[in-house]
Amino acid sequence: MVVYSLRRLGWAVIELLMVGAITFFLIYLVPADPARAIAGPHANAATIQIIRHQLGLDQPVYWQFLRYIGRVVRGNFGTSIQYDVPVIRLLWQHFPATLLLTIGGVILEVLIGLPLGLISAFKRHSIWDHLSSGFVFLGLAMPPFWVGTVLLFLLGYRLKLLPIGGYGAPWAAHLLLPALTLGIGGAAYYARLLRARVLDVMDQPFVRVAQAKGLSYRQVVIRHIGPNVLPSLLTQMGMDWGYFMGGVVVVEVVFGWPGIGWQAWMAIQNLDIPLIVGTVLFGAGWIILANLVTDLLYLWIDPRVRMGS
Amino acid sequence: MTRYETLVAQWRRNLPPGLVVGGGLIVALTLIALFAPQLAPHNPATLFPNGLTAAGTPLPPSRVFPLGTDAYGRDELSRLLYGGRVTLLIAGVSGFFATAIGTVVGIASAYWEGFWGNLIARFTDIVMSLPVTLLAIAMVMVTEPNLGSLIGVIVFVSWSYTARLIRQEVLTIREAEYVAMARALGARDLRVMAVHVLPQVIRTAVARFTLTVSQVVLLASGLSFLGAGVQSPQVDWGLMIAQAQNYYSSDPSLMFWPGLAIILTVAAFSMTGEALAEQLSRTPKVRR
Repeated sequence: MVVYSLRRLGWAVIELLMVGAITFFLIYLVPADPARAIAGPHANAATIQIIRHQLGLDQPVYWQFLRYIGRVVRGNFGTSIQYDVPVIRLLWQHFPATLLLTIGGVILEVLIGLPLGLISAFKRHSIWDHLSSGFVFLGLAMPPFWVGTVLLFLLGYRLKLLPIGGYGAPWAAHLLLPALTLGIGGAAYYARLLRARVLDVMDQPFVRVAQAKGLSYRQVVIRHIGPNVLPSLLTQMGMDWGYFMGGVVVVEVVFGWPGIGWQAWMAIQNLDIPLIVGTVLFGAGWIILANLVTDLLYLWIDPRVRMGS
Repeated sequence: MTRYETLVAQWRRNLPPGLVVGGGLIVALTLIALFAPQLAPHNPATLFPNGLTAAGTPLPPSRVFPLGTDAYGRDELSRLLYGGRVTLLIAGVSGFFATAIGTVVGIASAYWEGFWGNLIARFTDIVMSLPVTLLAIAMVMVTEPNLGSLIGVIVFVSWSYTARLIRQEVLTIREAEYVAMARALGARDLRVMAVHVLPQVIRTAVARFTLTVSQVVLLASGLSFLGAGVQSPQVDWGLMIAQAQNYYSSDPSLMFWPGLAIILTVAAFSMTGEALAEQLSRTPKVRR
C-alpha cells in the first residue's frame, strides 16, 4: 500500500515534468523568436539582444529547459506581459472564483446526474429511463457556451429571476447559472455512466447470489450494488474536479466570471503568452493533483486495489 | 425463410436505427456543406445596406432574408448554410488524423511490452490530463493562426482517448495464438502489427473516428466562440454565436439557429459512433 502510494506519487511528479516540457516547448521553441514576441513589434535590435540574454536564449536548449523547470518548481511561472507582475500572483488572485464555480458545478452535476442515472437503471425502459436518455443525449451534444447564453436569455433576461452574469454578492444568485451550465453537461455524463455501471453490476453473479440467499432488494442495492458503483462515480468526480479547476474557459467567458479561464481568455487579446501558458501549467497541475487524490482514495474505498497492490 | 427475408433480417440487424438516423444526418449535413454556394440565397459575407432596420438592428425574417439578418446586415440563412463548411472540414480532417495516430500509438504501446510500451502509455495518460481548451488556446496563439495549425492543435489534444482504448484491446489480441504463430513463422513486429493486429481493431477505430469528430465539432466551435479558432471573415457556427451574444436580448434567434446546427452535427456523429460501438460489442469477436 505504501509502495503503491509512493509509486503513484512519483508518477505524478513525472507527469508534472512532462507537462512542463510541453509548455516549455510551447513558449520557447514554437515561435520564431520569443524575444521579438516579448519585445513587441517596435523594439530595436539591441533591445531584442538584451531580452535574448535575459531569457537565456543564447544558451543551449537543454540548459534553458533545466532552468525553466527549476523556475517552475519554485513557483515562478514568468511575468505577465500585459500586467508586468508575476503570472503566479495573477493565477492565485483569480483562483478563488474558479474554485467557487468548480464546487458549484460538481454539486449540481451530481445532484442532477445521480438521480437520473439511478432511476433509468433501476426502472429500465420506463418513461423515466427514456426521458433521462433524451436528457443525456442533448446534454452531451449541446455546446456549453450555447447552454450558458440560452440560460442567461431565459432566466436572466426574460424571466428576470437571476442576474445577467458577473461576480459578487449575492453569491448564490450569481453562481447558479454558470454552475448549472457546467452541471448540465456533467450531469448527462454522470447519468450515462451510472446507468451503464449499475446495469453492469446487476448482471454480476454476486448480485444473484445475494438475491438467492434472501436479501431484500434494498439490502442488495445498498450493500452490493452501491459499493461497486462508487469507484466509477468517484473517478469521474475526481476527473471533473481537476477539469473544472483547470478553468472551464468557455463558461467563465460567457458569464464574465473572473476565474483563471476568463483571465486566460482576456490574455488572448493582449497576446500575453506567459500568462496563458502559465494557466495551462497551473490547470494541468490541478488535474494531476485531482487524479492523484482520486487514485489514493481508491486505496481507501476499494479493497481490490488495496489488496492488489 | 426466403433468401430475401434473410437478407432483410440481416440488413435490419446490421443497420440499427441510430446508424440510419445518424448516418443520414451526416450525409445531409455534408451535402449542405458541399453545396452551400448553390443552396444559399445570398453571399454569406455581403453586408446588405437594406439588411438592417433604420435603427441599425438586425431584420426579422422576410421573403428576401428567410431567417432575417445578423448584426452586420448579413443574411442569416446563408451564413448558417455556409457555417458548417469549415467546422466539418476541421472535424473530419482532425478526426481522421487523431484516430490514425491514436490507433498506431495504441497498437504500438500494447504490442511492445516493457519499457517502451509503458512509456508510450504513460505519455498518452499525460496528454489526457492536459486542460484541452486552455492548451488549444495557447497553441493557437503561439502558432500562426491558420486552418492547418488549428487542425494540428486539435489533433494533438484529441488522439489520446483512442490510443488508450485501442491499447486495451490490443493487450488481449497480443496474446492470441495467431499472433504467436505469425511470429513463430518469422514475421517482423511491424508486419504482425499491420497485417494481424490492425484488422482486429479497425472497427473500433471507425467507431472512435465518428465519436472524435463529434467531440471536435464541440471543441472547434468552442475555440471559434472564444476567438481562438476560425477567424472572421470565414463563417462558422461558433463564431456566429459569439457575434450574436451581444444581441440576445433583441434577437435571440441569431444564437438559436447556429446552436441548433452544432447540436444536430454533434448528435449525428455521436449517434452514429455509439451505434457502431454497440454493434461491435454485440458481434462475437473472432480472436482465438
